[in-house]
Amino acid sequence: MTVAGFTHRFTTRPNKALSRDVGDYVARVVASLPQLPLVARYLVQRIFDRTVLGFWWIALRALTPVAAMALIFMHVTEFGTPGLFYPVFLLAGMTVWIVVDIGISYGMRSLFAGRRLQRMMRLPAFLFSLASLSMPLIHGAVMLSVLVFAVIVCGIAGVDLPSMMRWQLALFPVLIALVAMLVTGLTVFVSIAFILTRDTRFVVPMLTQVWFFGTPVLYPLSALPPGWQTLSLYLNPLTPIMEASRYALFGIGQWPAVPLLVSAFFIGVVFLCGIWFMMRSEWVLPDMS
Amino acid sequence: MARAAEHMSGSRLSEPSSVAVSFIGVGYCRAPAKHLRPRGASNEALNRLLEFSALFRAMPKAASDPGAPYNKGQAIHYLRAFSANFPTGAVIGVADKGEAAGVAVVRIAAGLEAPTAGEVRYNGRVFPVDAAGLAPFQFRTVAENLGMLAKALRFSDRDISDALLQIRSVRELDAIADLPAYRVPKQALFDMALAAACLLPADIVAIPDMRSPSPCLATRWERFVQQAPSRGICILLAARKLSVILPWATHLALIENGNLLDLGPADIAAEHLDILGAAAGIADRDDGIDDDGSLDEDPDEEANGNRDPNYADAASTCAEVREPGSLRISQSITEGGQFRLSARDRLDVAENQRQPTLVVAEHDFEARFELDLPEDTSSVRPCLEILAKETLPTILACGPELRPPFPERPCLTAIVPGKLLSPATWALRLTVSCRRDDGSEYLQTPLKHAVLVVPETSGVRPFLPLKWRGLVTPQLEIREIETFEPTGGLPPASIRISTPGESGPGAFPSSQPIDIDSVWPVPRYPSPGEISMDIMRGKYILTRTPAQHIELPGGHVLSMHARIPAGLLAGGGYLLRLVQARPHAGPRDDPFSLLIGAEFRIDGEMVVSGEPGTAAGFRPGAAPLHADIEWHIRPAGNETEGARDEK
Repeated sequence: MTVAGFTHRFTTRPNKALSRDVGDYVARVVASLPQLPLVARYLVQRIFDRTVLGFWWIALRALTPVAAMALIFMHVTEFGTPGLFYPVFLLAGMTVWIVVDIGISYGMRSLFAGRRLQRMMRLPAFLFSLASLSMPLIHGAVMLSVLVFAVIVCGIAGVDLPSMMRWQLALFPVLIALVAMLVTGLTVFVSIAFILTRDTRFVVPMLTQVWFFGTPVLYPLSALPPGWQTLSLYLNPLTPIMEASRYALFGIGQWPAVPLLVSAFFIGVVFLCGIWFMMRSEWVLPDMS
Repeated sequence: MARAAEHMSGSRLSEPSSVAVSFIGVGYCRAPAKHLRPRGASNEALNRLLEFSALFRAMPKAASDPGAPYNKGQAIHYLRAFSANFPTGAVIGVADKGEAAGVAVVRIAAGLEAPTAGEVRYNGRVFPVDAAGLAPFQFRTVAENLGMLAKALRFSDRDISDALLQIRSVRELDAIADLPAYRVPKQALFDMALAAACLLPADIVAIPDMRSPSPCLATRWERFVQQAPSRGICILLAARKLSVILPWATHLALIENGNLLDLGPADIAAEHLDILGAAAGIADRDDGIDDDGSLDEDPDEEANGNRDPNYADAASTCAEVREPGSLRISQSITEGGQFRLSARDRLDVAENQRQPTLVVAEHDFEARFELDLPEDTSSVRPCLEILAKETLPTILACGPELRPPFPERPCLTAIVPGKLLSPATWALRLTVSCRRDDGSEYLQTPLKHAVLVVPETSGVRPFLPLKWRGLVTPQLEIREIETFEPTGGLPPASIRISTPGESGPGAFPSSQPIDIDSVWPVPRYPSPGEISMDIMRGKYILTRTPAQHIELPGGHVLSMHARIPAGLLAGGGYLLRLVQARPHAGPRDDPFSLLIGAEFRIDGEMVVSGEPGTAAGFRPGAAPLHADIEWHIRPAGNETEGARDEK
């Protein structure tokens, strides 16, 4: 049945469960994408409502731990990276890691924080997971700016650094996009878990911290024994991305082609599972609140 | 149905030519309320996880199959392949006969809910007027929130600024426009949203919870409604009070059993409504309890004091007119499309309990009221109101349903079907008016408040929201009750039933009870020895209490009066299970000493007459209701009462 002159519509297939039709759901999400900036702005503003420093917390939150870690670990010889000044090495790793860390910690609260907006506009819940990427991407951008600034300062100070102006630099956004997909997929699960039980806020930081130490952010992958290196490359989806990002930024190390493919496959699975899970959960979540 | 189909096709809607919102085979179902779901684990968080898991697995089947179980319960199908074309240029009130699908339809049209099946098409921009969802930024001003909402709905900046400018021209609205949203009461938020709906160039205005606009806005809203047909605006209205939407609606869309019953001009479509019952219900509701007793479950708003005060009013009003233990409801649950009598449930009302109108249920139910009537009645009109969130009142005029279970005694059995929806606590109020043959009315006050408790067969647990604690004593007792059958073994003489007078909770009626001369023929007890009155077979629920001795002089007759709820013995007498009378030696070995349970507390009146030499003593049990007992000792053969003690 078609009715002429209709400007937009909301559709689910008759006599078919909402959950089963991934295509319809994705279409809904795509149709709602114009609302993404609004949702993102809402989530970001909620975070900084009633704060004194406001958006300055982004810089503080991003730089303080990096500065502390750089000051301490630059004196640990095992963490030394040939050809790269350690604070820059750390900043390069943290630029990727902070997207994961901030993304999961804020994404965990995205559905809960957006419940008022959901009450006003019935948006696909997956849109909130996408919108929750705004905070980690802002943090990542800040960290990248600091990295560039540090490279410039090091250049002025006479510290020998590889040049960033290489064609491989174009791969860095692709890597960040992979990380964003991974974070979005994980965010779906943890945000729903956060609505169901507040245990999530204890479990997630704990696991994130374990993941942080299991990922070569503080240390180069070569600091691990060979067996552990292989394990980390193939079991931790972030390891190849971390290595590839340093290669893209500074050309150090090697491009981990096969582990990166495995990682991309894993991330794709997590992302699709996230869509599927959110789609089915969206029907149930109103009954849980 | 042919008429409904005709309406659906739009051919009958000659005045408005095009369609604003089109529902095509829309289905909408939800899980039962969480307090009605089986509790899987004692840990609340773990229970939520298990519940989520069960719902997650059961949802697809339940959404597509109305009969499919959903987490060990039935999914509530508000809409079943609902199709309707809502025309432009019409103010359409969407009402459901006794259920809450009207609100669901408007919420779906407003984009506030997603249907589980089907398709909704819009011809134009929709503006939802929802006070609860107007202010997502609680710490930002109302104007900022409104601007953001309008922007999200894709109105242009110019339209938004113009609308805000005009809103600020109203002094009352200007005063709240710059307040943080959390400091503004819901009515004011609703007014702001309504004003925005009037001013923004929306094609469809959906108001799922229509309220009466404030005086400062009434004229503007009235003008907007009047101009809607000429401007081609479709306004969809739904409300918990039918009386709120009827004055505005030019068209009515009536829903029954999840399908469109009729859609047409309000006066014609209203034929489907029970006008008699509706009129009574509306008139009574207007000056009675406000139905806005919805529980806002948002903890933030609660903490901020943004609480609707009407709820407290409703609670206090309920408390004023209630009378405990005087009304009984039996409940039926719909399972597989068939009504099944499950259990008779009641709430024991403590003396100091302020809020007796506690209803915990969320499913189809059939409330059965059994009331004793003081005299012969030509017509009886009970009216059940469901004071609840997101539902219209269920009104039933059930004169034809008058079915006395005992021919000797006029007794009303009112069967009121209804549906309770959404996770809220529900209150029922029953009003009864009776008419004599000469046309004069009596008993027209709000008679009783009903208490509905979910049956144990549904495997649910009583749930009291936090706000209710302190108001309600959670003495929800669910008992399996068998049908009453007087099976002999009753005490001698007679048991007479009368209605309680106007009295306070648990008090002995101060006014004269009206005997209705309904006498059950009961056999004499077999011997002067122990007798028992096993009125009800089943569980023994009475508790024995300390006894008291009084002396019964020779040649005197004992009669005992105990107050029992009026409707209690009419259909089952489930409180009084066992009354025993046995010979007992008095202090001076007087064979006529009487032993009476001191705490025999039953509402109503029971007269047990004994004769000297046969009734040597009584040891009645105590029912868990508060009442009094009185006894009469008079000389044998003397009809007038002699000495009278009242305990």
